[in-house]
Amino acid sequence: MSGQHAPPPETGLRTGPPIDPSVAALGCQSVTKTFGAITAVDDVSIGIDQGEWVSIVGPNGAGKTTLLNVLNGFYDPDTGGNIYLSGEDVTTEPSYKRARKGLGRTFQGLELFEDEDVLENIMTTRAVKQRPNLLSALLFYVGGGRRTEAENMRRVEEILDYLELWEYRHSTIGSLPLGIQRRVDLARSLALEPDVLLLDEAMSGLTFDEKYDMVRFLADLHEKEGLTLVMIEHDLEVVTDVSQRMIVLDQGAIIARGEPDSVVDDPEVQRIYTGVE
Amino acid sequence: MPSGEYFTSYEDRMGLLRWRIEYVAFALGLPIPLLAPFVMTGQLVSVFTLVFIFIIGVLGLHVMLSYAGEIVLAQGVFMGIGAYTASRIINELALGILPAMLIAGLVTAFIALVFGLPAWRVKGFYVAISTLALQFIAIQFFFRRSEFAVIHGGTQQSLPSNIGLVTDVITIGSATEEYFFAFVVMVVFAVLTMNLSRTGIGRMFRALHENDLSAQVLGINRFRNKLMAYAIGGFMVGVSGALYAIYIGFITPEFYSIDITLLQYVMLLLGGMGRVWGVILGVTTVELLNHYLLETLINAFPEATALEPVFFGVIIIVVLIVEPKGIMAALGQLKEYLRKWPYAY
Ligand SMILES: Nc1ncnc2c1ncn2[C@@H]1O[C@H](COP(=O)(O)OP(=O)(O)O)[C@@H](O)[C@H]1O
Ligand SMILES: [Mg+2]
Repeated sequence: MSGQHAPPPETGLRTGPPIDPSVAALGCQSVTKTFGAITAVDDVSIGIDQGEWVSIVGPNGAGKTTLLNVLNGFYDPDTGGNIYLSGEDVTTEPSYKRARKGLGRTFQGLELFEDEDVLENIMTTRAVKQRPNLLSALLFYVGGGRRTEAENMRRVEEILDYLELWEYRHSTIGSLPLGIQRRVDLARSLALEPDVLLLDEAMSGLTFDEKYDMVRFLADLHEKEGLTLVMIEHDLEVVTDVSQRMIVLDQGAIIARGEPDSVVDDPEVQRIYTGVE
Repeated sequence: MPSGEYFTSYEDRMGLLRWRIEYVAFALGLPIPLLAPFVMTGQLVSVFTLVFIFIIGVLGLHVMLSYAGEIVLAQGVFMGIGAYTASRIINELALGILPAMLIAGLVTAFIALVFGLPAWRVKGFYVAISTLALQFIAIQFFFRRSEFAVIHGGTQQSLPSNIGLVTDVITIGSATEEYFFAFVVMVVFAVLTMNLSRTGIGRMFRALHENDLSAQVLGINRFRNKLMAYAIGGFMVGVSGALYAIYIGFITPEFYSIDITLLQYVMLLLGGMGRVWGVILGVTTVELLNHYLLETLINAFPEATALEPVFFGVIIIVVLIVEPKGIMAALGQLKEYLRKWPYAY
């Protein structure tokens, strides 16, 4: 009788992060984020290795976006939690500094500069990368302003080329289909030349073809450029296809983690997913 | 098939003059302000001198408003600070116009920056309130009190009618000299402002204004850039105040009341926010209307004391109804048409 109540075989799905967060490319240790009575993120520790592709899944309201916001510095974690970037504790650093240290991100709600064209949207990121100086900006022709501008433009054109956005370069964001807008968001964060890129539902709302394109670009960036990717994604088929590891969040807490194939087969994960969909 | 005119190189796209129509307008337009003072009446020369001076100030407002994205209500007192500072540099130190303008700009930049500090609060009207308070306290109290003469140098001050550019070298005195001097300074600031908007700093300003969140994700330091916008804008308003004092030759707190603030907003709105050419057009239109139409109206109805606010109130309402983006937007459509000419599409 008692044999039937033996613990399930050790799968590793509910163990801690395989990589020590404090030395990972991106990590967090014991991070909790509460909004009043809501615990959006509940004691989460993750460690993402250089060059990994990790997916974060979970039902709506699980705390996925909040976790990204804590990682990139929009929200401070509740006291006790720490955030690490390339082994450095960045818990108290504002988001713009984390961005400059190589942490890029895109948005679920596409926070593009709506009134400007594709080129300008991406040039803005280059502008930051360049750390413009007031004097050379004011003088433009005499100071290096004009040359810097031309250099930036060339780099941006490479990115446009890479992401096949060339034909849209002069189109205003508002006039473009969602699939292209999401690609511009990706292009814009790439212009910062990040080491780690956080993607918040970069494929939601896309058609099959658009999704396929997006996966193709991400796979290319991951393989050829060695970009570390952390992606929030609902489509489990995509997740299992592309990512090396996945993390399942439910009600703010990690309920499973590990190889995508074994994670999606986990009864606990399936319960949450079938309970929602 | 492509029609009309397109950029062929990066450098083309970056030029100050990018389109055929702009070259034509530039070639035709340039001689006008240079020859104008020799054919205009003395009164008109003086009106245009004032236009140039106000363009500098409204460009400053444009930088603060479009780039820091918060309402500033202290235009009047910022010009006043520039004026009083310049007056002291000229009267007490006899350093001349250029040093006076520079120091007036720096002092105003500093004050604008300090009053921009509440901008670190994420949203709200903190800057509007703090600058409005500054406007009233400074003009109704501080500059009127002789106790503060150590700082402002006297409530009412006169400036000499001939002042050198640096000490007493190359004096500026006649109306025509003032006209050309104000014109050159205006052109310098207009070009600097355009340069600002075409380069990284302008892009960072715009990014913050358009989307705070993504700006930070792209590595833009929100607070630092906002303060920089206040300092740059404040500098320009201070310079404009210094020139205004030199132009009138006399300063008193009443010249720098909230009316100046409101007038500059009318100018900015009318021309269309966010563009240097819009500022130039807006200021010119308002000053000309002010000078001709309003003067005629006031002469016709001397009892109607509220005529001026009503007049500008009506202008704002009409602009908001007809073309909320200002004259510049209306002209932009015309320009697009001419650019593609002779092709219909
Ligand atoms: N700024 C906020 N203020 C209050 N509650 C928030 C805020 N952001 C998120 N939440 C709450 O935290 C929970 C997790 O939200 P979110 O991270 O957006 O979930 P997900 O991205 O997984 O769908 C939700 O209950 C949401 O209402
Ligand atoms: Mg979300």
